[in-house]
Amino acid sequence: MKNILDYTCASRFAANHMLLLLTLILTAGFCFAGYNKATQFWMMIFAFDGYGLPIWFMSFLGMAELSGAISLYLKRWALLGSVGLCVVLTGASSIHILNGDPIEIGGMAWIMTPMMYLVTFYHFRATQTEMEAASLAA
Amino acid sequence: MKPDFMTVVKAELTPQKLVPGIAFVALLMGAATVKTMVWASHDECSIDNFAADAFVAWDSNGRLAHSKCYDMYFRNDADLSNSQHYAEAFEALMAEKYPRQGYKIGLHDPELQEMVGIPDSMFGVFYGAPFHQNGDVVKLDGQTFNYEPDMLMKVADAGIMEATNVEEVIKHLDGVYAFIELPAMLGDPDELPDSAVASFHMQALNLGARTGVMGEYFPFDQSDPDLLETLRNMTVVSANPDGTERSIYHTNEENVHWLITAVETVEHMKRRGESLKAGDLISVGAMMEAFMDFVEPIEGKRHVHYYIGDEVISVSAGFEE
Repeated sequence: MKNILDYTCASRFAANHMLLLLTLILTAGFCFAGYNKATQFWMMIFAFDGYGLPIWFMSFLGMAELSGAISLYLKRWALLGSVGLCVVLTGASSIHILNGDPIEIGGMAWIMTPMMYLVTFYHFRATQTEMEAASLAA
Repeated sequence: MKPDFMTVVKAELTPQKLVPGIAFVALLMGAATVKTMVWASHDECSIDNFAADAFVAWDSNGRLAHSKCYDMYFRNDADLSNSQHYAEAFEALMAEKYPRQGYKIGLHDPELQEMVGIPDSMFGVFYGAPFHQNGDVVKLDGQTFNYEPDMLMKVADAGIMEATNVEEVIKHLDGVYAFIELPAMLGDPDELPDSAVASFHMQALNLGARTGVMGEYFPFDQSDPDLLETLRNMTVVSANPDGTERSIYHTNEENVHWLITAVETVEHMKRRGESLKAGDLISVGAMMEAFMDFVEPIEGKRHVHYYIGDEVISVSAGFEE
């Protein structure tokens, strides 16, 4: 059991409860938004048509959001995954702003973006600490 | 000592991480492409048969044959005037058999139009039997209707054709009826989830204009200087037979005054070389937040109340198989 937990971010979550809380909230958001995009829900298709973005890109984003959300729990991939999700959310927020979307449409991306940057910072700091600990142990 | 920023970046971007990471992203792109190809696949159809297929579906309370094929055609075509051309061909077949009952506008808000990528409002014409009366129980007869709290504007005179804004158009309107619009969902749910069609396809299908239930009437008092503002600030409450809320809609939360639908109808009629006349009825469009609310048989009736200034008008309808 301990070996399995070593591959996850459990130790980072134990050391930083804010990271755990933010990750849980973001996971819920990515599961909702990612599922609707990955399964090509018709309302998402309407929205992407309106933005002039192709449907394959919508599906790709949905799958990337779902797998990105999983990566936030895996120590090996958490930092890279959170950087990727920052790129996705920054793009989404920008598109909502450029299209003048109301808060009901763009609000979720606007709220999730700073949260995602904070999670990325926490994972970066945790990686630094783990590398330091590894070098000291060596 | 903690490693610096670049050391962490280098540690993260090792080939052991980059290669599987990039491969995974490429795999996702491939999967998304395949999924989209499956989504876009459809049977064969000829657009020349669209009007006839749409009429058969509409007239037989059925579903549009080759729904997906037509949907992909109109979606990829993305030409509102072409969609209007096919809607008029569909209309011509309805007009041979049924009288005209009214008009309707879809997506009247320019912001919403931009959001779904259409350049203008959509326009439809009601054909068939007269609208149901207040309190009627509507037989579904195998059709799928969307339930839409709505209003029907009654034209006062043909001078409305000169109106170019809401301030002018209101002078040529006699009043509004409380109205539940029941557009027919013609898209085949086996081919299109939730029968949802692309907006350009929706226009070609005449916005599903089918029928509705007319309720109480609110005559416009043209001497009231606050009439326009009073109409802007309406609250529309839809309730279930057990008294629970179905939807609440505040018309002043819209970006534009809902009377713009009358101006847009004038523009569409001019485009078609036609004119509105006294007594014509124009449906405003759904006054609820949700896009879809399919009608099912119910015990009792649903009620919609319109709070217009100090007045309340209502409409009620039941539904049976």
